[in-house]
Amino acid sequence: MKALRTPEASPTKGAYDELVTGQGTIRYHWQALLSVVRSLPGTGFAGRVERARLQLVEGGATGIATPDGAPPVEAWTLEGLPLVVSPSDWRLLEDGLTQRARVLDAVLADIYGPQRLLAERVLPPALLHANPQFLRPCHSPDSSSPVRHLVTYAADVVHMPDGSWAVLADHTQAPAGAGYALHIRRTLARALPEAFRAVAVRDIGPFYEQWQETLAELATGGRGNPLIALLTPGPYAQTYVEQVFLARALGMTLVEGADLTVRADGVALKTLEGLKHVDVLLRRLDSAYCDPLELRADSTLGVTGLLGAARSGKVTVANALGSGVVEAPALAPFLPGLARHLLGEDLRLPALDVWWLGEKPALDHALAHFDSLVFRPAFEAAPSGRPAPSVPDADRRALYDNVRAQPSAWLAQRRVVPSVAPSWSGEGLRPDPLILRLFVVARDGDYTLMPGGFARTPASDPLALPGRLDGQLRDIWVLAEDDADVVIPSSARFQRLAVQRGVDLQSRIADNLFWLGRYTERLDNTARLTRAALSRVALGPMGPRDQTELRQLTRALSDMGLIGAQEALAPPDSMLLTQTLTRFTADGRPIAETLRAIKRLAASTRDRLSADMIAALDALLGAMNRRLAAARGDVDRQLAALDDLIRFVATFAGLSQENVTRGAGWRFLDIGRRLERSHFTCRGALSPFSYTPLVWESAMRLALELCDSTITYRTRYLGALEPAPALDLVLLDDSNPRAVAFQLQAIHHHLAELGRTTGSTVDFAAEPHVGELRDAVMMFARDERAWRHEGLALAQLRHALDRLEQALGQLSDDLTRNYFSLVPASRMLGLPVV
Amino acid sequence: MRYIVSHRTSYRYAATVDLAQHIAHLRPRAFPGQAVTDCTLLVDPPPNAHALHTDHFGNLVDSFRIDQAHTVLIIEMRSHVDVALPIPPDPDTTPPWETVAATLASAFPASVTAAEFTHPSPLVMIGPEAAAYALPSFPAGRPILAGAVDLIHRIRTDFTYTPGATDVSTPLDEVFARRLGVCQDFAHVGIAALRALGLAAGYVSGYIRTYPRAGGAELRGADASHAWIAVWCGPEAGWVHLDPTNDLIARDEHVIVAWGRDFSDVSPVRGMILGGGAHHYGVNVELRPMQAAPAD
Repeated sequence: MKALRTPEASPTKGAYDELVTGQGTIRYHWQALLSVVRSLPGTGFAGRVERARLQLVEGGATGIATPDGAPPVEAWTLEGLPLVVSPSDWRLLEDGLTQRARVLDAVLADIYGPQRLLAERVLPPALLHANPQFLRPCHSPDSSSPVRHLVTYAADVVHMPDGSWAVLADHTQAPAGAGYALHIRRTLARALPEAFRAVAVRDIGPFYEQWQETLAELATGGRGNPLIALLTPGPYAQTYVEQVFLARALGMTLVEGADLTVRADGVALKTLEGLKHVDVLLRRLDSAYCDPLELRADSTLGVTGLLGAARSGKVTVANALGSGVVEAPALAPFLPGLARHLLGEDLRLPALDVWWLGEKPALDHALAHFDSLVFRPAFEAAPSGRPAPSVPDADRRALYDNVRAQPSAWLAQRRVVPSVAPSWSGEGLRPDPLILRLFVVARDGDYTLMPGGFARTPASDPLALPGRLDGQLRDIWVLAEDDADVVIPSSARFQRLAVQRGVDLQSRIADNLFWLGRYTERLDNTARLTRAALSRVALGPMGPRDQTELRQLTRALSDMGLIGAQEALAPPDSMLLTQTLTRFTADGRPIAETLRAIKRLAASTRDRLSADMIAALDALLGAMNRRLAAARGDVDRQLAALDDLIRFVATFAGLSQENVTRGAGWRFLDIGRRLERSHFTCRGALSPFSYTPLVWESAMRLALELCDSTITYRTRYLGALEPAPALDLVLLDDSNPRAVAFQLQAIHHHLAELGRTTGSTVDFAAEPHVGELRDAVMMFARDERAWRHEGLALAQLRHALDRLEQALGQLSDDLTRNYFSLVPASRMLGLPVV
Repeated sequence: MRYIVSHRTSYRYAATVDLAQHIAHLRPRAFPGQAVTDCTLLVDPPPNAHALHTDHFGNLVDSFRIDQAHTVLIIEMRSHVDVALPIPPDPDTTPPWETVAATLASAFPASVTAAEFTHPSPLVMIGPEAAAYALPSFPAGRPILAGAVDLIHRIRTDFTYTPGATDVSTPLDEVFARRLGVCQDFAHVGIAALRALGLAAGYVSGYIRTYPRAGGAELRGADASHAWIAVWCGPEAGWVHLDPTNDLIARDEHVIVAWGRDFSDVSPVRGMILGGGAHHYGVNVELRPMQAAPAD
């Protein structure tokens, strides 16, 4: 093991070293881990960590979805070496942070209740009144209900140069990260099983079970099977993936505001089975956005009337609405006084050296030592504060003036030097600064600390933006003291977990899955049609047959709105046509729009798809999208890209058959796919049958090609093209998974199952349509003169296809009305004054 | 003075409203110098859920929800109110405004309640134009109430009362620029000016008597909700209510419904509806003295 190098004059100078003592020896509690790391065979530790990182990236754990276009951003990477914390250090943190949670909860109870702390001069009123997170509508001055305001709490903690611990930031609004903590632990447990055998690391699993129990106990109705949901801001939230992990870890439904509605008896979840009463919301949406009626009117993420429902005790919101108010860093200097006043205890984790400048002596001191201090806005939980020494002269003057002009909006603090721990880099070990993210949850009238968490090495200034979860994350290993740490789940806990198994499918998710099915299939259809046209262009000089077929294909593309009418009429060997077909994926073109829609739907249904399906979609949306774009203008590369596109859609479809349980969600996905495929066959693949002049051979050949049934036909009928067998194969053959009858029967079956499980039925009679199609095909089976010249069979076919198309459109509308739109969005109404 | 107050709001929707949730600051609250009895609030169609609570500022808030389809919504409040706001001190005997501002600026101010009204609020951001507008009324050492009375006189003189020229979404800097508006804008201007000096000023919503005064001009803002300001004049004088729209100190011709930092804290009716299409509203306010009502 190479020695640590500590560069001179780095921001870590003077930092506490987690690994090495002042005498240069490895601290005792690290030794077991290090000997395992040294002894790993093969590519050793580096190889293991590389695989773990790859797993995290491929599983989407580190990504942030971005609206429209841009590929997901990787927010963080895994550092394979954990931070090992000794039992004695952990006791300090446990005592300190659970006490701090009790203080903050008591402060919240006072702030949103009697507000005695202001009258009794313990808390300066400005800390409340100028604090944007103090939400006045949440304040009930005459309420005496003993509400637990702080259910979940997270702290950013640093290990100071003298070995003491200090809290850098409190997270009380909607603490993030616990979903990552469990995911990181599981990933590491797979990557380094030897280390977990050799080191007595405390298990963090029981913490999540305790969390579940606490939330279940918060249910107000006292009902045996409370519905607990995690309220998320949605797929574009920075920590959405983490919220998905957490919802899974806690076995709860992930819901958006649009999934919920307030009724007379409380909050209800819109599910396929109708409205379901919600008992508890674990809130990850910032309070101000939770209710457009009483809080931010411009919020589209909340639930109208949620605050009123919470106020009247019909739903429990955890953390309580408004809980972000105690995140204000300006509160820190008052916490020792608050702890004494509210709990009669001394604050166990000392405050940082920080002063709120709303007090005259603090202001005078800070201005006198202006050049050596860090100034931060008093109420921004994620401060953009900079140390005065690093601010350019002109800005320093402005900073000084700002502080002078409105001192109560500012804090001053001494520069914090976080501890360092080794990171594994190419050359060996590198000391990196660490901020610990630790998690606390209410438990039996007190609080309990997760025996773990993660430590973060921020991408930029370690003290800027402590709220962001970016940079390098590493597991925290708390060493067990004795066997007392091994928690054996009680039998009561098993019972509770057993009754929580039912997860209701939100109407919104069902809607999105239905359209995900439609759009992925549409992508496939579009690709097939384009490929058919482009492959003929690629042949070079065309014979009359190819020319005719190409003409029919461009017309079909134009009929489906995929290319312009002028472009469809361009000569087969013209540059215009080649350009049109090879720039098919450009922005604004239907295929780009379809990809965009798939991206949006994939983001919002992510937690309902298997990891492999997500990977297939990510590949489709990321790599595929780029490949299609790169291949623009080049016939051969475009053809290859279209082949791949079709394969990716097939992979996704295959996975949806093999990897998804046959619940309602899967049925909607499959209905969407089959509906779209039927639609394409009627309108795209068979469209040459409605063109005049009708070229029978081309129409038949194209129908088989576009329905991927050419080979089947050839093996069955040895190449002789006749309409009855060709149409039978693509329309009626219920052994052909691309035939219309096959789709209709599958849809019929799904609808029957949905009616059975949800109690709500949509009617769709497949049989009359199959019958009409069969009659038409039968007419083609008569002698050639009849079908080729008399036109009766053709008229019957067109009629049957038209009727089927109408019925499919009706079905889509019926599904929406019946299952998806229980309560649409509402709008704001005000009243003027004079 | 004892009044019978009624306030009837009606909404007529072009299309059916399937579901509606409203919150209303319509019931007059008790206040030093004001007592309220026999207050009722009727909603038609009858709500499926209706709750009454006291908000952060001590105002009464009705929140109700209507699940049945409707095309007309009527909210009617009736109450008896006795008003006799404390006789304000002689303006020249009130403390210098700087003294009051210093009291409020302390980390632990003399009045917690008043201190809250020194900060910017959602509709009253405090810009340089507010401070510039305030200063001529507040030369060094001027008694606070004398300065405030001068300020509202100047607002009444400098700003043109123009119903319809502004609405609830008109930003304050536009009001400053165009120098016109209605009572709500006048109140916000006064509040911004006072807060720019570090003074405490609140937004009061209520009603003003609806009949002409003997020998006096008819008061403005009588046909709907009215608004004025309350300014804190130090621990002894406390809050004094000033009406910049009518350039007077409120005594017994103003009935207080609710107060807050600005309009956004006390909006009379707010709602979220489902459906409805275009809507028309009608407001009818009456404030009649209980004895010696003049013949209509």
